[in-house]
Amino acid sequence: MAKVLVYLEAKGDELKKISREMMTVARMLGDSVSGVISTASDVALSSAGKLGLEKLTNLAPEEGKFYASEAFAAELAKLVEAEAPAYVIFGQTNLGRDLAARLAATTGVGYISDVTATEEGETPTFVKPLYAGKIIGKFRFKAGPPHILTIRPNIFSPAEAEGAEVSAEIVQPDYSSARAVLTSIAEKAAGTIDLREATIVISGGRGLGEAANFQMLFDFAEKTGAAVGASRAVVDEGWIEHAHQVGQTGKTVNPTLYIACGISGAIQHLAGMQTSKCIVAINTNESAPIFKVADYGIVGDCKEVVPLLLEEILKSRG
Amino acid sequence: MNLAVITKLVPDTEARLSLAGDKVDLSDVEMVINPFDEYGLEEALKIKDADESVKVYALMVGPESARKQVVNCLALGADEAIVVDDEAIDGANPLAVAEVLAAELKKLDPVLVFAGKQGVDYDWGLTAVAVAQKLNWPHVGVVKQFTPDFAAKTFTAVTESDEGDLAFSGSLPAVITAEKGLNTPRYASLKGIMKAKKKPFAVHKLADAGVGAAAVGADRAKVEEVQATHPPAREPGRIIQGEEIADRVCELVRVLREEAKVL
Repeated sequence: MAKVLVYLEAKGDELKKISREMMTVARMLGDSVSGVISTASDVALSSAGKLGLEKLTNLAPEEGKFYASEAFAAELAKLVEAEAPAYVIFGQTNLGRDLAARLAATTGVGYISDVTATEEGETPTFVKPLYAGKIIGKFRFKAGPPHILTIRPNIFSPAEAEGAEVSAEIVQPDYSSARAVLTSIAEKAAGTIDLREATIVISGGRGLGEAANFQMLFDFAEKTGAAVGASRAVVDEGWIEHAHQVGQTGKTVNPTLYIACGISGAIQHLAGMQTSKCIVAINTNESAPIFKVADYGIVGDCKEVVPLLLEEILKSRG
Repeated sequence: MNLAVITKLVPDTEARLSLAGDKVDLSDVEMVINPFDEYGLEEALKIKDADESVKVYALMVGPESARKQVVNCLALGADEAIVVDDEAIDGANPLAVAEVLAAELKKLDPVLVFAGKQGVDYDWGLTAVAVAQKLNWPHVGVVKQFTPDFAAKTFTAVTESDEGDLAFSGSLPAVITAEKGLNTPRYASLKGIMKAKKKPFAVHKLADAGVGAAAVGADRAKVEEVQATHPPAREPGRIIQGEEIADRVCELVRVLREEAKVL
């Protein structure tokens, strides 16, 4: 019976979607899943307890002290030692990837990051995009177990709750051993949609003409529930913060609908959005490379097209 | 006071990559210093700007042919470069590379080690964290704001996450990995380029680093790459026609609803 350990994540009272996605992968790879989480919220803890876990451990944060890679990796290493799981699964999130790397370095076991698919077989293979998606790599573990994985958000379907709720075992992380500690979280304004988790992404490039025209995309995003992306060119110009950049030195996104506004389609940008389900390109230059990957294109000026598109979409939604 | 910057050679992000069999063929690809490492280097140079006695080392495990790119780190303002080039090192294994880097860093005795948040090739995000582990130092990853206090031997660092900005407090020495946006990297000046030619540039073997070949060989790898392929090409799409822009937008929304079913 293969055991799997998952590192669940919560945001306030809510279990993050990636936690349910990890459960899906865990059930593919094993039949007994234990969870670790670090939350001060009883509500989040109870949601985690209902995922169908054998056991749940809460690395209880202290006042003003949250994540600490050294202390958390030490606790996880103890759990790995005691339970001997075949796999330890994290989300490819800021903290998930950080802890997975520290645990891999602490234990010296094999680590495959940013997994987007698993293929069964005598030795399972794990698919991981390389060069930001220009290449798809397949990897296998040569040694172990345990094996460490991080999974990309928004790829695997989220698992539903199942079985009886387990109550969490509280573990006090040894913060005194940690020499770098997360001490405060400036939460994003409510309603802000993460680029990597958005269903619709509307991105702008130089073709917008000027920085102020990004406001048009923010309006569109606010009214349709989309997230705003950007090309590297306009981030480097300082039109918008790097947090919005899509592509090889920015974020890889995977929405249902990606709308590229005034983006020519440099290869490093295409790498970061080409797995979107449907791509729409709006550009005045009909020979722009972006049209080669777009499902639908409009040759026209974004400043004209975007407000009309917003109006039509809102009308169609009724 | 010494600072060190870990760098890596990667394909230019503008490069198209071709395959030779089921492996990526990099023979004709323009190689550059990993873009995220440039933000790490700039952060070290900013500290040197404020205190001339600071020495900045640029460190790489990679081919000696990286000299051109590494010399550019010197032209930008780093004081010395060390490239560890030894075929016994399994360069594909981040833990092996970290072993070599950690050994070199122990000799340099830096108070801060900077690196990029990940290589833009395999995106493991593991090497710098493993260096911290091997040095028994703390680390903070994906940093977009960094403030050291050398007198107090502490620092604060901010990283961006899906939850919002995360603020870390820590003590020095530490490993910091850079996110784009941490700073704006400078360009090399003509004077810098001239000076770079005279700066120390060492090419080391494993023995110089003080690491045994057995510790970093290919047989130590815990993960193997089975195959590399191109992602499936997207089906060609179509340009929506129409007399007026408004007609085209109307038609677009119709096909998004009825054909693509994404609205």
